[in-house]
Amino acid sequence: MTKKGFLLVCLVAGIFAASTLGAEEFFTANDLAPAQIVANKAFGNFVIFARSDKGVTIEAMSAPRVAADGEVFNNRIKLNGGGAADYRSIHFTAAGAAEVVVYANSSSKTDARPLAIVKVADGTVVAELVATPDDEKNAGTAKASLPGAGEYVLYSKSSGINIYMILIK
Amino acid sequence: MKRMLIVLASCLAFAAPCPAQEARIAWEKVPGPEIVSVSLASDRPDTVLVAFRLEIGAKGADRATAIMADASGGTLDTKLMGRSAKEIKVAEFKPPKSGAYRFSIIAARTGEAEAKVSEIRAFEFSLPLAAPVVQARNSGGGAMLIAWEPVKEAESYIVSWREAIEGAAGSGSAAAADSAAAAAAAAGSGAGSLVVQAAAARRAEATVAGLTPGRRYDFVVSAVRGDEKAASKPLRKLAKAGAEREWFFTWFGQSSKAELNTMEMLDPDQFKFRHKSCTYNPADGQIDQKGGKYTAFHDGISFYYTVIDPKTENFELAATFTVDYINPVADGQEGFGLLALDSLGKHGVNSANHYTNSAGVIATKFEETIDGVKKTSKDTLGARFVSGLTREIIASGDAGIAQRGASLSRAYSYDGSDLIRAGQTYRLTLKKTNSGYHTIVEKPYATEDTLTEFIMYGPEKLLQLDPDHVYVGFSVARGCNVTVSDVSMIVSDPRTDPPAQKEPPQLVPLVAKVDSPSSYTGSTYPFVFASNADGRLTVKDKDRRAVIDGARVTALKDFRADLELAWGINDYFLTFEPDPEFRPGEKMAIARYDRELRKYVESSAPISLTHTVIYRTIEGEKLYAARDGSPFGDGTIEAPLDLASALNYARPGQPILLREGVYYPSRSVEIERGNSGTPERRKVLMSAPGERAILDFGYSSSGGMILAGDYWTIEGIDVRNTPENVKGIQVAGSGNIVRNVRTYRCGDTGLQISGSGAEPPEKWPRGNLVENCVSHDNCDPAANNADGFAAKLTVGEGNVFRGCLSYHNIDDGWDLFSKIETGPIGAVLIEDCAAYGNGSLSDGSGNGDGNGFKLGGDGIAVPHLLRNSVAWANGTSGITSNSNPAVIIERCTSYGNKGANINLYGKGDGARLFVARGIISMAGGTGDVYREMPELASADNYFWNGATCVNAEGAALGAGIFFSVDIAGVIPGQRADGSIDMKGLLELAPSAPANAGARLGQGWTTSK
Repeated sequence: MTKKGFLLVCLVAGIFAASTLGAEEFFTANDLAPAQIVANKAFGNFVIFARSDKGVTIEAMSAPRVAADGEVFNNRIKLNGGGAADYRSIHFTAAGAAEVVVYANSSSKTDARPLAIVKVADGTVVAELVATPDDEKNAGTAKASLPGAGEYVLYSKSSGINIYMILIK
Repeated sequence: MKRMLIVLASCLAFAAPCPAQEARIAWEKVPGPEIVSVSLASDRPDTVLVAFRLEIGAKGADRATAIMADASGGTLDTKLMGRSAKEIKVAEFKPPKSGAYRFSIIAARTGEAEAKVSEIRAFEFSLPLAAPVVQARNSGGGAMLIAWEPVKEAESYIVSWREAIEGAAGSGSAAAADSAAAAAAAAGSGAGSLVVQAAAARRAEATVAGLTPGRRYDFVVSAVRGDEKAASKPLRKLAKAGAEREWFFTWFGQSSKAELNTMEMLDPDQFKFRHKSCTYNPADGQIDQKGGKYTAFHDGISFYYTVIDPKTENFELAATFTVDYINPVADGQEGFGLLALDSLGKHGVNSANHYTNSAGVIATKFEETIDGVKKTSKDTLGARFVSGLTREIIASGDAGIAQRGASLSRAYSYDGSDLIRAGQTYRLTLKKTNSGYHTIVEKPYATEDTLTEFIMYGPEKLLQLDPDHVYVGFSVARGCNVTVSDVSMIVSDPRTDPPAQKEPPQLVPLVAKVDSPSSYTGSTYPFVFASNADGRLTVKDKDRRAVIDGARVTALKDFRADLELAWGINDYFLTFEPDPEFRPGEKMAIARYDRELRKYVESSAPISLTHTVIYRTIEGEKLYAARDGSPFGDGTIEAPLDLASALNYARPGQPILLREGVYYPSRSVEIERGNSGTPERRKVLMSAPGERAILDFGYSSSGGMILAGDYWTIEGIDVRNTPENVKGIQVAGSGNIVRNVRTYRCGDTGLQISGSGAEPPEKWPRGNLVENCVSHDNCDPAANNADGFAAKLTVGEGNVFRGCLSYHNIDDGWDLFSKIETGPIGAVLIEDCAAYGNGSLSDGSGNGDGNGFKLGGDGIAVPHLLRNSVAWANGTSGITSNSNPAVIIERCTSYGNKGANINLYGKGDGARLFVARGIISMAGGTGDVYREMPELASADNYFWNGATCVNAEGAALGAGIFFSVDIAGVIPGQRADGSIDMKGLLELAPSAPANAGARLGQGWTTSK
């Protein structure tokens, strides 16, 4: 093989390698139009699960919420109550072990609420995050480690939680 | 080819260490924001859309700020916008008035000092001229007062009118009506117009005079700005000779919103209007947005009201409500109704709650406890009376308002058939009389039992915040839209109306009872009588001699007297005469049940009772009782007594020894209050040495064992198989010791310390010790109440559980519940105890939601102490505060519970006072909960975080610190001395930290 050919192959391999390495993936309410979701609806890799009696609301907020890391949110996904794998929840698939950052607040001004991340295949609770109360200014942030590739679902264990963004790193 | 592959592999290996994420593009290389367009929203001409291109995200800025400035560059409004994958972002602005505006975008990234700014785009905005919303009211003598809210930027208004053309209701375009009116005015035929200059007042108005009473007119008001005109919809109104009452529309309060809380007059002559508080999706009927809410002390509402002068006006307002829409998934805060308010909320203010006194007949959620049964209905019709609020009480905040204000809700019916449904009509009446406020609902088919009216006595209750006015009208909230029609408003003069009726008192049934035992072993008998009323007591013996003659009795205080007993049976005849002037409380009266009327009536009639006391003792150092014993026995081994006789006639210091075997009492075994030992000479009930007696209540009609006496020791017996909902042993007395007793398979809690909610806390059981007892497999029919051990609701100080084992009970291992109605209980000490498998029975049945140690309830702070104890494999939490914010947990182990091993949380705003020291928590179903006091994390506490048992310093513990974690295979038992033998299960090995975890019987001493 010529030197040129060798370099060309490395370049291609390098490009190939870089493109197989994961980039950050996010799902933000900022990109969603206000709506009342009453049946499962997919947004790329993220699927909101809902039913007519257990609906999810996407709405604009009158004041933005700002997270500690500077992220700004103008809209929110209101889960409207406790959920399960098949309603009031958001599903997504991870390509491998990853860190997931959830930007969210409890819909209450006083009570924090538990947000579960569960591996769909076997129902194991991967993490139980805390959605902090909504002071109408600050967006709460919580992180969890996803153990490996697979489908995950996120839902409130009880009562309303508003999701601003899910970021998979 | 082979060479190519080797080269490729090397390149991949070389490429592998590349970072997993793309690096951010340098800020200087990120393109700045570019405004693409500034335009009006096609569907909202009052809104300007600024579309711009800017990357916000990992590859660009972190945020954008859109700015609207005036012509001189002064910032008027900004919109902060965050990450979005959309290429073009849109910021919306509502300019306040017509004029020139400048828009720009600033992009920023955290950590970068310089922002990037777009070019400035100018935009000439013309505020749409709105059409006025018009009201009309006859002001008397053929004059009509026309009123409307001012329109922004209107320079003047043209008010025009003409006689209505019948058969064409409010018809034609406004412009046509306008020009027809002008033409008709010129022709002089009952029409005309006039011009009103715009002014700064909140309301614009004009008076149209010279109308003919009995004729209908169409009125139009047009806003004028330059050449522009915006005309209102024509308002058709009947001219009348008399003046009409003025009505106003407002909205205010929590969650209310201008665009949701609205009112639309449909027919001003018939007083028919639409009243809204929400929007919904017509396709599926699901609610979209909700405006306002009804709560106990404040409302967010649409309110169409009139103002009453309370000194000169009583009223009766009646209306028919047709429900156009109600949230199919009711949340209990929506509804409609008639309200009279002490004070009015500020128009358009939803940022503050409007607390006020009120009387209302409203449809919303109602909840009451009637006859011990909790009833809920959402939504249904009822009365809501709010009183007692003053400015000071409102200023003291939610806690002060809840404590010192009164919000009384009474539903007319909790029947499912009376739930509010869309399409139905309801006729409501709200009345103010000299007695107070009456709320009335007409029922189509009223029966004898139908409630139709509630009364809040005392009209002055709505004159606390605004003494000169009462605001009366129609309301809707949150998830309900109605049409109101057939309104009738009748006003009368309080000075000539019937005088106020006195409020009837609340009836309290008379309690009068003897509270001393029916047997006694001494000649001087401590007689105790108790009543909830003051009165006079006379007690006569069998010869009708008064041994107590007209003695004064004070309500809720024990009356005590010593009576001399004759040997054997002593019969007494009591007469208690309640004091007719006595009142149990403000506006309350003592009552008796009238059998003829079949209800309670106020009564102070005397009550007669009989009471018999048997004075008897039995010789002997100890008394033997046996299954085949008899009341005629003498308590020897050869002639044992029956159990009941032994309990009645044993003297202090004369122990009762039960012979072995299974006893089948036919009713409850009761040690009465007053049948007591002394601290120095206790009464004792125990199995005979080397034997074990079993009390099996399987054939008992009424109950288990009730220990209401004091200073007893119950030792070495079993109690089992009590009937449904009957506890094994209830300890209601004080200073008792229950030792080495087993309670199992009972129809409710195995062993419970509790008194009576009808008695004051001084009479609640205190200072009892439950030691080395076992309680298991207790189950009530509803499978949600039977615990192993409990000390709940009505418990005094100083009760202790030590060395006890509670397992496989259908509810909890231990339950220390308290509730608001009865208040805090005395602090309980639980030490050297173990709880496992609660939530399911030993055979695996049960729905599994039981806790090991449940240490409180209802958010009430009680410093219960749980020490050196273990909880494992319980169906819910191992150790839970159950909202008690003050529990203390020391040196406890919690392992493998299905919920959280440790679950510490309170309720509401009160302080959290948890103390946790030396906890080892491992392998719980979920992470431990203590987020309300994160400072509980310490070097001494090894909490389970969902994945690891770790302390605050990061030191983790593994299962190797225990000799065994085989919670399925190892079953603990009891040693000969009664202490718990864990058999290695969850016993701490030498490698375990010295200052954490429980060590049952491992030499770690507890204080006695």
